[in-house]
Amino acid sequence: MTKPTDCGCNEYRELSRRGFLGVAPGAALAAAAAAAAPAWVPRVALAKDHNSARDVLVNVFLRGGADAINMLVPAGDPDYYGSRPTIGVQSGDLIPLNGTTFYALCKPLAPLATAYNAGHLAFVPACGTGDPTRSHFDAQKFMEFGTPNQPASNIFSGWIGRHLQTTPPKGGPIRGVAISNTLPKALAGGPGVLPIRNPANFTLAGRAATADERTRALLELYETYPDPMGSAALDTVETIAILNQLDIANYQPANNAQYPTSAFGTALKSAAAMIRGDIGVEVIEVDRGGWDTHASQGTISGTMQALMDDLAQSLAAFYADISASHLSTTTVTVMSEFGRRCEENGSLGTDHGHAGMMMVLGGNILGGQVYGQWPGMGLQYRYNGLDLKTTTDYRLVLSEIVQKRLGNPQTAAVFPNYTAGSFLGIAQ
Amino acid sequence: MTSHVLSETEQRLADVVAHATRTRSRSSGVSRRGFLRVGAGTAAAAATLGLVAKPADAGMRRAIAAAGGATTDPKLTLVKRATQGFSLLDYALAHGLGYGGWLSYQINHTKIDDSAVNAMLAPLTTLTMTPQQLYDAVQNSSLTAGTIYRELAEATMVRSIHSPRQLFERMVEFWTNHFNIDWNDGAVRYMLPDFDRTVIRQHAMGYFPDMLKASAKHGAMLVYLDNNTNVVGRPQENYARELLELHTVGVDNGYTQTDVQELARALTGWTIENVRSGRLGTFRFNPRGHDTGAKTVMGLVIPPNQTGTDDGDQVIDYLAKHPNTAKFIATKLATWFLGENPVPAAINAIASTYTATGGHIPSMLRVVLSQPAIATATPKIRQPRGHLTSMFRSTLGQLAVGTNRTSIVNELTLLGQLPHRWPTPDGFPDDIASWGKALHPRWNFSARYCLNQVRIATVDVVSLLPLVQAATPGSQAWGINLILTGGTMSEEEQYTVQDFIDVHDGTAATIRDAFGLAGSAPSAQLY
Repeated sequence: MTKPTDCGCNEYRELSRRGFLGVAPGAALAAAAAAAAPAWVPRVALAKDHNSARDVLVNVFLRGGADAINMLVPAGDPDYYGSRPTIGVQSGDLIPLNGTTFYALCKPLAPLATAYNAGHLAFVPACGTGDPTRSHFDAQKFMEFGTPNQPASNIFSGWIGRHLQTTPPKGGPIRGVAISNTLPKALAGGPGVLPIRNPANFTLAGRAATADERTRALLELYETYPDPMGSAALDTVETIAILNQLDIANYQPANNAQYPTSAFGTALKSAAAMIRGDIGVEVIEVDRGGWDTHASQGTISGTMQALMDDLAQSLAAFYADISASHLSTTTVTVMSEFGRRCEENGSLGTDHGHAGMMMVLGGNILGGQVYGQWPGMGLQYRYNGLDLKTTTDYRLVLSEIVQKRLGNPQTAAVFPNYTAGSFLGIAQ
Repeated sequence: MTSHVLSETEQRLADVVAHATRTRSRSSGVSRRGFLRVGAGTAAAAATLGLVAKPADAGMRRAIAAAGGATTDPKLTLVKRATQGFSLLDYALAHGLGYGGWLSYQINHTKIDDSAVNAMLAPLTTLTMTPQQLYDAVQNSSLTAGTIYRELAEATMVRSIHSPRQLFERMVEFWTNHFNIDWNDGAVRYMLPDFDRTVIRQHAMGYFPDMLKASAKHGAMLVYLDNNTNVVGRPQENYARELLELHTVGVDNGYTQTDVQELARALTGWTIENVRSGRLGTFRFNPRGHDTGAKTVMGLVIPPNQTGTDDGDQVIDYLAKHPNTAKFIATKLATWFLGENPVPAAINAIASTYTATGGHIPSMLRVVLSQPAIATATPKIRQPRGHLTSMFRSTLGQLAVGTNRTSIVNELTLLGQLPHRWPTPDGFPDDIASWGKALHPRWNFSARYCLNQVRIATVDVVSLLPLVQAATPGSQAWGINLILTGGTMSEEEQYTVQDFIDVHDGTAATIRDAFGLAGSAPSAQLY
C-alpha cells in the first residue's frame, strides 16, 4: 500500500494509479466537519482542482422526440388550435410567462415558472439540428455527435466528449458522468467519462478482506488495455473511492427541495449531490425517455402530463437544491432529437416532426425570456408542409454555452463543420 | 469440414470430453449434481484412455488450449460466436464433431433434446398463457403483472444458459432485438410472452419473411408501435416508419417521408381484438378503418379497393423481397456474429443467400458462420447479459427459477440490461462504445457470482478447477483461463490472477476471488 495522498494537483491521475484511495485524508476532515454540522456534508472536500472558470454542465436529453409545441405552447399562433383540434392545450390550462403573450407553459410545466420568473430559465423554441431525418436513432446520433446534415461524417465522438478533449486535464477521474447503463453518444470520446447506473451505490462488491488487493489487480489487468475499457478501469476505481467519500445515499437536498421518486428525479438528485460535493465533476448527463407520443398523448392529463410532471418537478427540485450554493456555477441544457408534427394524427398523438425546443437553466443564464423566432404552424410556413421549421440551430445555443459557461473557446472543435453566427446572448 | 487435422492425442481428449458431455446430458445435465457427475465421468474416461498417466503431454494441453484464439483453430471462435457463452464442453463437442459437424448439429436445433430445460421452465405458467388469460388473471389478482415479466425474463436467461440449443437461443436474442418490443408499455405486458413464443421462437430458425409477417399481425407489435390506432383519414406513422427503418430496408435506405405516409395508409385498419372480445390482442382487420384508396410505396403500386389485408400483405411481401432488406438483414447478422464493421464480402455473401433462399435463416447462418467468414471475425464485447450467461456457462453454474424477490431479474437490473425492457424499437446496442466503459457492474457480478453470493445461482468453481487441471497441467491461472475463455486471456492477465492467488493462502475463498478477478479481466469481456 502506497501512502495516501490528498493531492489536488496535475499528477492526481498518476498518483492515484498507485494510491487509488488517495482521497482518504479528505474523509477524515469531512467526517470531523460532518460531526459539527447538522446538515448533509460531503465526506470529501475537493477531490481535485475545480476550475471555477467552468460551470458544471448538466445535459438532459429527452429521448423519443418531445412534443415541444404542447410544452411551450404557441397560443398566439392562429394555426395552433386548427392544427391540433383535439390535443391543443386549452387557454385555461396555460401558465402565462413574463414578457410574452404569444407563448405560455402547459400546466404540468408550471413548476418551471419559478426559475423562469427569477430569470434563470430560458426557452428556445423552433430549435433543432435542421437535419431532414425523422429517425429517432439517426436524429439522436446526429445531435449527440454534433454532425447534422453530414451524411458522410466519420466522426464518432460526441460534442461533450470533444469539449472535454479540448480542455484540461487529459484524463479522469470523473470529468463526465452519465447516470445511465450505457454511455450516451454525446460523451463518447471524452476523457474521464463513465456511465454510472446509480451513483448512490457505486462500490466494489465481494470480500471486504481482499477488496484492496482485488482493486490493485483490476487496475493491473486493465493497465495497458486500449480504450474505452482501459481508461474506464482506472476511472472506475478512482470514482468508487470518490463517491464513497461523498455518501450520496444519505444526501440531503438544500432548500427542502422535493425530488420526485422517479428514476429521473433520483438521477437529478444524485447530480445535485455530486455538484454540491465539489468533487470536480464537469459534466453530468441525465436522460429521460418515453417522449415518442404517437397515440393518446393527452394534454394536461395522460402520457404527456406524466412526462411533463416528472421533467418539471425534477428540474424544479434541482433548481431549488443548487440555488443554495451552486446556481452560479451550474448550467443545465435540455434537448430532444426532434419535435413533433404540427398536426395531430388520428390516434390523438403526433408523429415525428422536425424542430423541437431547447431549455437552458442556470445562474448565469439570461433567462426569463423566450429566444429565437417562431416560424409559424400554418401550412405555408411548415417544413415539407408538415413540420415546424428550425429557426435556431441547437449548435448555436450550445456553442455559446461551451464558450461562455464552460470556458472553452474551441467551439469549432466541439462542433466541426459548423460556423456559429451571432450568439443569442443567452448566457453571461 | 475443417482442414485442421487433430493429433491423435487431441482427438482422444476430445472424445473424453465429448463422453463427459453425454454423461452430463444423461444425468439431466443442468443440475449441480449433474455437474459433479460430469467430473466423475471425465476422470473415469480419462483414466480409461490413459491420459491421466501422461499429464505433461503437450498435445493434450494443446487440445484444450491450442485450438484457442491464441492459435488458429476456428472452432473456438465458432463456439464463442454461436453460443450464449463459452463452455469447454461445447468446445470439446466441436472438436469431436469437427467445425462443420458442430455447426450442422446446432443448426438442426430441433434434433437436440431440450427436455431438461423445458422441465425447468414448467413451473413458469405464464409463458404459455394467452394475452386474454394473462389480462384476466391480473384483473382477478391471481397474478401480478410483475410476475409475467419475471417469468419471461427468467425463461430467457435459463434457456440462454442451459439449453443445448445454443445457436437457436443466440438467434432468439438476435431477432428479439431486431423486432424489439418493450414489455413495459401498456397492454403489451400481456402479449409479449405470446409474441416471444409464436413470432420469435416460432420463426427464429425459419424464414425471415414469415417472421416479419407474423410480427406485423401480432398484438404486441401492433400496440407497441401504435398501429392498432392507425385509421383512415389521419393515419399515424409509428409502425410504418419502423417497419421500413428497423425491420426491413434500413434507415433512409430508398424511401422518403411520402413512402412512410403511404405505407401507413396501406396499414390502416390493422388492429387487435379488445378485452371484451375475450381474445385480447388477436389480430383484427377493421374494414371501416382502412383506407381503400390507391397507394404507392417505394415504387410498389397498390391499386384501390383491394379486399381485406391485401394492401398490407402485398407491401410487406414486397419489402421482404426487396434487395435493401436482404442487405440490411445480412449486415445485422454479420455484425452480430462477426463484429462491428464486418467485411463487405461477408455481407454480400449473406445477402445473396437471403435472396436465393427467400430469407431462409439456417442457410444464412451457414454462410455467416462458415469458416472463411469466421476467419474475418473481430473481437466483440459481450453485452452485460451475455457476460452473465457466459460466466454461468463457462463455470457450469446452475441458474434456478426464483421468486419476484430473488430472481435473476435483480442481477440483470444491477448489470444494467433487462431483457425485453429496452424502451425503444431499435433493440439493445451491441457496440463497445456503448458498453465498454460500464465495467463496474461486470466486476461486481463476477465477484459475487464466483463467491456464490448470487442467490438464485449455484456454482462451484473450486471443484471445477482441479478437473481441468487434471486434464491439462499448468498454473491455476491457466486453468481458470481455460475454463472462462478457452485460453484467450493474455499472459499478463494470467500473471495478475496467479499473483493474486500466490500472495494469498490458496484457500477456496482465494480461488473464488481469483475466478471473479479473471471474469472481470478485459479478455473475459470479449468474445
